[in-house]
Amino acid sequence: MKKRHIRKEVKSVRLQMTSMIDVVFLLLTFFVMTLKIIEPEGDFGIKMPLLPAQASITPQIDEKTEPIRIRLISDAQGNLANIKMGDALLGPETQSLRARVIEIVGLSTTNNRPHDLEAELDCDSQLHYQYTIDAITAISGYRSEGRIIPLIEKVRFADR
Amino acid sequence: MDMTSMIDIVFLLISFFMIAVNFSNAEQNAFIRLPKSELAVPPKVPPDEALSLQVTENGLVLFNNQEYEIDDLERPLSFERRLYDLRGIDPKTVVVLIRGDGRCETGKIQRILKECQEQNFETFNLKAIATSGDGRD
Repeated sequence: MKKRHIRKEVKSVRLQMTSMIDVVFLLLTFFVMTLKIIEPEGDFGIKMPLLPAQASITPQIDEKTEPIRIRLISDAQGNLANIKMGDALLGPETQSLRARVIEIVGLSTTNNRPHDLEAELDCDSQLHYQYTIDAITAISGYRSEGRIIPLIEKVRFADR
Repeated sequence: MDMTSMIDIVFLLISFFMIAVNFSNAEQNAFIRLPKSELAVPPKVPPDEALSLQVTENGLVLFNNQEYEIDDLERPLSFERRLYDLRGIDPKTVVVLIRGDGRCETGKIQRILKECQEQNFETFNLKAIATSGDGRD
């Protein structure tokens, strides 16, 4: 008798859910429509002050501030043909560029601080931008066990 | 009709889309395929003052929702510089975000940098897509 009574009560409490579902679907469609998937974008900071005209007259090139000159040579299609660092040709692989940078910098980077050396990129005009970013990536650091180990943070483009 | 489970799922969907949606109105042109880089880390703090220049594959510059040839950039950039001057902001502290297409020629990017430098903008951020792998996928 008691059980039957309970069942009767449950049946009597019937929620009117139509309007709620209407609103919920409306919200759902709104959020589906406004969803904009953005890939995470990172960036490389580059500081390039315009050199004053007098600077070229009195070159005060210090041994310490002399930048590492890296030349990116492109073929006619805009692909990377060769990398030149100083006088040495390194081939078209940015990995070997990174290896050279580690050679120069690696021993003196302590406590994960970027080296205060400066790198100057001299790129062929028709080189695809992707290769330039590849080279900047190779110069500025590498990933090791999920962490980023910085190498040279000051990168600038050569004046042409 | 038992709708409990359906409503559960619908609420789940709503909360997913609510979290996934972002209303940031950062200028991002979908046609530009940014270069990939394993070291590109999204900035922790967005810059206070930033200009966004987007460069398409053939070297057209999108700036403030308008297209410019690189040689025509001087006018809009000097206009921006005057605005910053009026607000008492040093253009040297303004970050110029460059979203260049990976297939664009580096020489064009350098010409754009030069145009910016002539207007005293000297801090640049080159945008790239973050990859976890080795540069290219």
